Amino acid sequence: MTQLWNRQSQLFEPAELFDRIHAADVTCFQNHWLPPMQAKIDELKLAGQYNRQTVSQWNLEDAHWGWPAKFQSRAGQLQWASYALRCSGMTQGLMFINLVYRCRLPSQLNQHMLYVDLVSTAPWNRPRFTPNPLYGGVGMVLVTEAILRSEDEGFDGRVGLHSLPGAETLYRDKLGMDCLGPDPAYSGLLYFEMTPQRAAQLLALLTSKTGGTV
Amino acid sequence: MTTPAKKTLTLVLSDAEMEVLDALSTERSLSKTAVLRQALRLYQTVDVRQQRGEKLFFENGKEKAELMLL
Repeated sequence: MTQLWNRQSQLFEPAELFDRIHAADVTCFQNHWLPPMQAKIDELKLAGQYNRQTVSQWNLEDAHWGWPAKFQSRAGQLQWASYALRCSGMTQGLMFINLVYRCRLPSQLNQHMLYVDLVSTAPWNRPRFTPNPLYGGVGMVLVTEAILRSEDEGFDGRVGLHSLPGAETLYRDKLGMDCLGPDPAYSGLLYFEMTPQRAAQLLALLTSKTGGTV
Repeated sequence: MTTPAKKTLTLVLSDAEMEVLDALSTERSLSKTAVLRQALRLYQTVDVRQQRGEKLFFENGKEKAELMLL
């Protein structure tokens, strides 16, 4: 059991993290996440304003990720694992991780790491997309789980990911990950890695904040 | 979070296989169980793609060679 910060009531609410995406989460995505995101994209297209900049401004850079198709095609493949974060009866966050990647950071070169392939929060939690975002901390809960899973796998907390432009601040400044620059093989997105040292610091910090549990 | 159920398997390896497992475990700073888990993940990944008719290549900058999976 974990918790999410309700920005509207200014209270923490209990949330549950599931160690795989279930069909109910895909249904929630299709019925509740996708329609408002698609409506905004249609609106931008109709206005002739559908481009990278406006999609980023509206915090919809991940709207094209096909969660249902990925849920289906990756099922049963041991290299993939997924997580769903639920709160107040709705799926608030989704994450796909990969377990066969190796580090690129020179100090960690070729060591095993956990790669965060996709991580998203529900549209009603997104600043810029909605005037009063509901829950805060979804991304932090999921990325923290990725670090814990990395430790559990024997990867010492090493985590790597490509960041969408709107999330770079989170990974660089809030999580203290090392930026290895734009990856030409991945649409020029910035590539980040977390070292075992930084992972340990971060988990110690989170443990002290939560009084012993992460 | 719900922890996935785990099952125990007793594995019988030859000396040579155990030496390789020991070496990989040391080089990669992983437990022997973690090495075998990684091996299974990779084996399945390669197997799935081969069954789809895909090929596996290794390259070193100069040469590119297909790994024949028989």
